[in-house]
Amino acid sequence: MYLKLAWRNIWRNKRRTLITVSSIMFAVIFAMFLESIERGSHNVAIENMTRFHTGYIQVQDYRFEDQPSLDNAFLYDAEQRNQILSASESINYLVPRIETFMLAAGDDVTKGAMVLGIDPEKEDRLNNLKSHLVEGAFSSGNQTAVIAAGFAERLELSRGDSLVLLGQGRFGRTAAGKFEITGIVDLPMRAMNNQMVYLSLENAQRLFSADQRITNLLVTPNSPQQVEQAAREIAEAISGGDLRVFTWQELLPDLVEALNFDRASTRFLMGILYVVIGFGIFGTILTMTLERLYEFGMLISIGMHRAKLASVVFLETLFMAIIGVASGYFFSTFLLLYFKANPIELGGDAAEIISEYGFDPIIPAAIASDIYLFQGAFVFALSILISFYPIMKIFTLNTMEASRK
Amino acid sequence: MLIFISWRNIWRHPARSGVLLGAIIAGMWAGIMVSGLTNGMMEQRFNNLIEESITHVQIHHPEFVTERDPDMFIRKSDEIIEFLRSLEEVHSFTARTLAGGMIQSPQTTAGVQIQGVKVEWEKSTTTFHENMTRGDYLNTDTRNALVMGEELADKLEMEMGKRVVLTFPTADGEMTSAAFNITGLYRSASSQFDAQQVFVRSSDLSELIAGETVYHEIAMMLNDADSSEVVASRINDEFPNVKAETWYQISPELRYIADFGNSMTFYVMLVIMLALAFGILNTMLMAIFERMRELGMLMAVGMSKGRIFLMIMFESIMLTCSGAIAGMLLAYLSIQWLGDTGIDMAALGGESLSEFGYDTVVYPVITSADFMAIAILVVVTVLVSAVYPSYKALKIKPADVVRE
Repeated sequence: MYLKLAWRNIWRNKRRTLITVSSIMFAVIFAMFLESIERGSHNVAIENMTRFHTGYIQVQDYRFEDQPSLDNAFLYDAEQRNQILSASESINYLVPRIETFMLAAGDDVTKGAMVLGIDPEKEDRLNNLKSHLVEGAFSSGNQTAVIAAGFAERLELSRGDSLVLLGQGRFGRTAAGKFEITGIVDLPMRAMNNQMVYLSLENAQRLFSADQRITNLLVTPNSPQQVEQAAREIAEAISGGDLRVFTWQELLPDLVEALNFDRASTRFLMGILYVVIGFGIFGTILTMTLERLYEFGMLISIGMHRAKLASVVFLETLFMAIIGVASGYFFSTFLLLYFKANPIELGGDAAEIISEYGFDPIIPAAIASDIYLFQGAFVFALSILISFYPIMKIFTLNTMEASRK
Repeated sequence: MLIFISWRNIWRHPARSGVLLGAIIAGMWAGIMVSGLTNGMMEQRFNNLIEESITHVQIHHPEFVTERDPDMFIRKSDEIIEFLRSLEEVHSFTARTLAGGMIQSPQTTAGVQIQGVKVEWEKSTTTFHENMTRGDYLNTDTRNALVMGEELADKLEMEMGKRVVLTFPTADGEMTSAAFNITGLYRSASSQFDAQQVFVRSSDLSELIAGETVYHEIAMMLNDADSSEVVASRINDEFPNVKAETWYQISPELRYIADFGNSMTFYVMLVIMLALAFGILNTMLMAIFERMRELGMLMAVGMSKGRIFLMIMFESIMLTCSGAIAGMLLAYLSIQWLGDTGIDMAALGGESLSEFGYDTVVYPVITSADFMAIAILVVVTVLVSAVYPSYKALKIKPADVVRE
């Protein structure tokens, strides 16, 4: 009965309903948009950092974290590979790496170098390493190396020259070797571009006296959402041994902190937005109430219980809030899909700097169920809270004054 | 006359006018707060980086920044130092000897950047010494003293008082090694920095690199950050054999913070202004429908449509102006208050931040130019959103509404 009455009331004055519903709808859209671009900028940052640095998941010897030395490289043979690969369905592919710091000498100059033993195919899948080749190619031949362009310049080396690497191998053994440069990669990050030397995994293992061993195994899941699950399943499969599984949150604590800080400040901005949104909705509902005071006064004077009238009005707001939030969902889905496909492009120096790092200077909108859930619920709750104004008004209404109009 | 009617109209409906006024005040407050907060956050990160190590202006050998060759030290550094002492814009300055090399502990090897600092100069110029967690900032008699990040110490399994070996190239292009004693540990806001930077005394390092006192970098703090460019170009004019650069040129990270912050603020502001505009639009529209009868009556007794439009616009303008003034006052007071006490981000879910050396309390800052720009933006937004409802009022057919 109340339901029917409320439903009819809503449609009796379509214009009024439309305005109220639209104010709730816009509230949902704005709140969702703001959270979505914030989330989107975080996702981009995470993806860039994991692709170029750490991967989403890494497997290491448990001692390697505190002491990143070749002594703590772990055995990575076919058996180990299969054990990890079969641990979880969420794994897409594995990227093995062995790395250490060495001295590198050209003809005249000697510099420190980061030496990384890699599988070029897998590395390319992770971060398109081959697309950064400016000269030559990765070779599978013995004693060959690919070096970064900045490093080549500093050592005055070019393709075809030989490079001498000198350092410490596993368990203090001397590691020294002469390598032919078969290619040069121009890496986007200056720090890396000035010191990277790539060897094939086999060459590096031989040089370091670390047969079949690697220092890090990067695991790429099928999708970023599966990171936790994949990490857990791998951890279960290899538990008991010396290996430990790290997720990007553990590998990039600085990034996690920066994002947390950003999130906290966004929460504050959200609070400010809610104040504005709240006034918008309150404005329409208050004006609507004033407009209907005559009607309310009339109904009360012909004998309608105030409580009943209040429930009807409450149901009306409830309906309008539901319709408003639902249509807000509907339209913001289009808006977010649009900004996901056509990300916001950053301008100015920021864009230039991000490009220098090899990233795209864009913020795509993120679409996630929890954004819908939280913002929808919040605006809904806000509308219901505001609906207490007309209810209060009904209970305190002076019928004589209201119907004299 | 019309203004008088508008004025009376506003007070005839205190509740309705009140909520519009509230919305405008909220919008004004929101806009200024957003701007103040983002400004404050950026300024804070800025100052951290600038005061801790980057400083306002740095001088190098023209190619040192890209080549980092130990031979590219600053020639005739005495003359430059004399010159800096004579510049009144310069607050303080310091000189550093830099090298890239390897650090070895009995357990492992890592790549590091070695900074040779002049302790007293550095302390009066940067705030880095505040990051010390153990020991003193190279202020000891120990020979070849060294300070490293806790992060690096963990990695090398080293602690206070232990010895490490640094290997780095000399000015002649040879490699040299020397043992250093760990006399202090620090922890800065970036664990990456902590794992890569070690500090030694400039005198120890330059002796090993060149056999005499050499500096690769002279860094200075100015009395006013805005004079960075002027000072840099004066140095460049005076000493053509070196290159002075401002923080803006030195640190892409700072430029990134500045620009990224600006574009995010733009979108947040856009969303808030749109939210405000729609709030006002909807409320005004609702108000017009409520006043149908009244407006229809005015038309029926002969008031022209133009005058009705003007009357409603006058109402909006008066409401907007008083709302804007009240909102600016409220925002000003909020910023003043929060500028003193700060906003603690830890309370908003950033609890773990302080452990990492982040300053979790943000102090909003606003310049008077920003303040006015936002005030104008809000006023324009509100007035533009008032046009449609007023226009809607013109469409009223007096015969229909009066009969209701």
